[in-house]
Amino acid sequence: MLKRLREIIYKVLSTRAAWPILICISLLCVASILALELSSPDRADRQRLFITAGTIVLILSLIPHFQVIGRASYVLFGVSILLLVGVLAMDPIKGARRWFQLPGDFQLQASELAKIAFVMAMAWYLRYRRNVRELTGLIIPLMLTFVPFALIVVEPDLGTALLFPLVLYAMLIAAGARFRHMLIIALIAVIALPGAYPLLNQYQQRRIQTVVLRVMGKSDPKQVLKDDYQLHQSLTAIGSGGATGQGSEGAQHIKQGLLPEAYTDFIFAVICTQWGFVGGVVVLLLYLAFFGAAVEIAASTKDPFGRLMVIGLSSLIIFQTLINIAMTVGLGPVVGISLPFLSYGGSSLVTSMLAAGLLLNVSVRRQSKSVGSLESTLR
Amino acid sequence: MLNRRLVVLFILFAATMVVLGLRLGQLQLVQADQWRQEARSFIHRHRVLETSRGAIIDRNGQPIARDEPCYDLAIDYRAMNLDDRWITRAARLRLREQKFTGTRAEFARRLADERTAIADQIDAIPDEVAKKCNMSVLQVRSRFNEIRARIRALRQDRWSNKFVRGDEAQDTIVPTDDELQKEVHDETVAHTIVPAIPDDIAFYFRQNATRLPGLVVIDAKRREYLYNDVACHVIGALRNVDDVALKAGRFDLPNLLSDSDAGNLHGYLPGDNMGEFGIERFAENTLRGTRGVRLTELGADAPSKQIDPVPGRDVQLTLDIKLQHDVQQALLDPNGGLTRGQDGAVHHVALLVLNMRGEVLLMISLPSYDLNQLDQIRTKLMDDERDRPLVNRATAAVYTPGSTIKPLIAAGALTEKLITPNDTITCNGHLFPNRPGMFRCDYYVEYGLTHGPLHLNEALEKSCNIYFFTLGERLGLERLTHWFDLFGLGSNTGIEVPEQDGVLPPKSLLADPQMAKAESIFLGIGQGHVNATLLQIASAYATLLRNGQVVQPHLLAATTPASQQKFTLAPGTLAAIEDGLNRVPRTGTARKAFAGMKMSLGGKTGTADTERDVYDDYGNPLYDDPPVPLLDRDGHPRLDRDGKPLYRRQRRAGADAWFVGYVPAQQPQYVVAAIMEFGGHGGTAAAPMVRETILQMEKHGYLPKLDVP
Repeated sequence: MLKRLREIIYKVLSTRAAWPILICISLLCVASILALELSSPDRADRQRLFITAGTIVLILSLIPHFQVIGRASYVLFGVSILLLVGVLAMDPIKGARRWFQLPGDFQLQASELAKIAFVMAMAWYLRYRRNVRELTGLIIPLMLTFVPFALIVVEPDLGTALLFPLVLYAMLIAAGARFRHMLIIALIAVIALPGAYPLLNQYQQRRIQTVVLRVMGKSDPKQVLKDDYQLHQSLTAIGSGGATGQGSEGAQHIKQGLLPEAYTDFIFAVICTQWGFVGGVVVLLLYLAFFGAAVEIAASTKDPFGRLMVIGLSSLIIFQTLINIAMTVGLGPVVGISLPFLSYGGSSLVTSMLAAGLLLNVSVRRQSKSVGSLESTLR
Repeated sequence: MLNRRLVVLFILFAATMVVLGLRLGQLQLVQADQWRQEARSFIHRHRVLETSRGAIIDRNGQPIARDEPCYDLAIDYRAMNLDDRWITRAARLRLREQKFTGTRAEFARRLADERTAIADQIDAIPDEVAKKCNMSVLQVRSRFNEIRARIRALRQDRWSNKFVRGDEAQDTIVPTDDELQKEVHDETVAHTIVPAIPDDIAFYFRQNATRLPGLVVIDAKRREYLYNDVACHVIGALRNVDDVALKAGRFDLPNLLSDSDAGNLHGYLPGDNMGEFGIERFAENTLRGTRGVRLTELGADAPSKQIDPVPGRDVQLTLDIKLQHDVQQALLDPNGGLTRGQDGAVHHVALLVLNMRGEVLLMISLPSYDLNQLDQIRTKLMDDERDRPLVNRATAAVYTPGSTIKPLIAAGALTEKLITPNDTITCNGHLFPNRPGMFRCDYYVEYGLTHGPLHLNEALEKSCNIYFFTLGERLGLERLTHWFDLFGLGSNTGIEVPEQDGVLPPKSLLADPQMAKAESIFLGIGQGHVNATLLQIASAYATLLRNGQVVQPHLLAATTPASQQKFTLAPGTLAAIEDGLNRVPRTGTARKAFAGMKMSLGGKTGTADTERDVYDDYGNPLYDDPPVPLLDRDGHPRLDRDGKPLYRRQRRAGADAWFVGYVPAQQPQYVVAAIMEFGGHGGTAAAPMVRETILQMEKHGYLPKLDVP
């Protein structure tokens, strides 16, 4: 067992695409710890624990052939849907039913697991399909997406729910769906959006209004709405970082806990305070490098399932990143989406590590073409 | 083909990242200074530094009203609002005190139990406070709301420009009240519910602190009036700031981080005290201190900037509070009977001493009330239509001056050259020879005797009505009004406490010469359309003694009184008037009251016929007069439509007793004026009060000690 593990790790390290991914993850985890040391020192220790656990999950996820995992993907997806239903019966935490309470003061966010299972199930479904080039072929993927989407919307967790159609889009592009069709679907969605607006919670509506107002230039920093409190603090933290970071005002601003959720959803603001514009851009580049490496893996993977899974998982991570950072810098509405590898939180980190592990899993075995050669690869 | 799609995906993501990068550049490179400034404002806290109210002291520096340390019963703002975090912290503390050992799950359960317990205990606080402090639960709750308003006011100062608060505070990411509150006022988290509680109740609450989470006894200050009810009408009291004052001068926290926002530290916060009436009100801006503000960076010990609070300044009065205290004691002495009128009943009185510089040394209005008890008895006092204790009878009640006006009439007639001191007017008991029933002299009415021919001094001495009827007639209505006005009757004297104008003859009376003539005859003895306050009459006498120089009476030592030469008497005439007035206490109408006094004084009695309602608007008796039923021709009670018996609208006729004197007679320094409502004869009812006052003034060193050892 150990021998096989060593063998696989050796193989991973010998692949070209693995290095940028591992380096990106390590740097982001280090940045996470440093940012937490500033904003919430207690949580830094726990985050180290999560990183360790995440690393173990990453390594373990390398062991089985991704095809084996693929076969189980429908079951996994079914289980995750059940969990999403089950979580609705939990007591709300901070006004939403997103978490299972685990022993030892740990919580499990059901949608985190659902994201991975969804990508795998979708990749498994799409792997040999050619009918995605027809408009009708898109119906089943869309319906498959709607189930977790709807369940997560009622939690309520609009931000996370939105990831599902976005990831589906990325996967459909990779799978070869026609841009024309996708444009039509996107148009339908855009037209349908105003109809969905009244269904949103009041606070969700107000957040959207805030963004619209800000984009229209209707609000100056001194006259923002109450809902913008958090965002205002975030912009203050980011802006006070300046070009190279660590302005004494900014550091003090974070240290005194004035930025709410500085350890999870708004950790990017902490990083921007600490290392300024330079730090922020480096983090953006790390994520881009991560995705670039994933694209490289996907491009050189012949197996369609592996290829789709790589694109699905990596775009999942990038979408989260983009939505989170857009929110942090005030270009998107405030939603509860964490920043992969950086935000404090076990579920989020372990999920991201699992995704990274699966990417590496594919990268190690990308030469193998089909299930038939599974045994040979494992040997 | 497929790889091209992947490249498209990559480019899409990269493009989005470029947008984010540009936004970062905008925030961190272009706007960096602005955001640093913003961060600076967030990491600094403004703290309000409390100030104190100045004392009111008398002319000798004796404190009358001052801030004294006391215990306030206060509540933690967060506890009052059942703040979740505060309750959790309190629950944790309790478990720690109990030295809790157990599993995590057990701890969580116990914590939840404690939280529920604490919340229940907080809920019970208003009842407990109401019971112990003799209040209603409603009062306690309304006090809670007032505290909330206060916090809101403070908070808005800091945040109004930054955050408009919505009503639907559903969201967890918005700052809680606690977070906002921390911004402005963390130094005084506990807010007073009941001010100045007695020591035993303070002890009780300190003993039961654990049972009443959030409730604390704090060291505070309260206004103490050292002489209780002495000069209560003048001193005044405090009450909660009203909306008008709040609107006019609201406290506004300055922003010490910017030079342009000076705020308004002198303004009011809801729950602040302000002067309600009297000097406390008049000198509000002097007495009231200015709060300070301290800027501290979070986590730092030393303040980074501070505006020190400015304590309120002391206000010195012209009153001699000890003199006033002693005189009031003497008046209220049940054995002395000084406030008893001719009828033997106790009446309302007013008394004041004015020196020639316009300083009021003493101003008494009875009945009085204890300023320290005012909050408890305010409603009762306000509803007391019978005694109207809140009215300052020395300045804010108008009376018919009666005979006290005679020296003023004399001054007018002498100056207008209508008579000289050597001329005589003969008193036959009644003014018109053929009409003995009207315009009569009191001497004639009471004893059937006449004064015969009188000089001015004799007429004043004997207070002959015929003499002054004649002067009134000679002066005529217009000149009388002119002279009343010169003496300051009918208009405010300008003193610092509320006063009434009084009444002057209306112009409309001139239309009918017959009426005008009759009115002017009556005005000669101070009856008819002339009403004045005690202070106006006293001030008019001082004006007369200063030979026409009007000096504004005042109560604040710092006031520079307005003064104006209104008229000058013909040479020798003032001496003639003084001669007459000097005779009054020796051989005249007040000789009984001043018998045996060594101190020489002059003065004039007044017995002013007047009428007052017997019942107030709601039928409550103002005097002990029995109601008089209305009868029809057959002697049966008359009934209204509903069958209820009707009563006569009654006014009580009587005489207000006056005495206005001055000491010493040779070189007058003080005017001492007294009035007793319905007291009867001035020489009998009012003069003894003046005598007592003069004796006390001798005792206190204002006059040479001739009558007292």
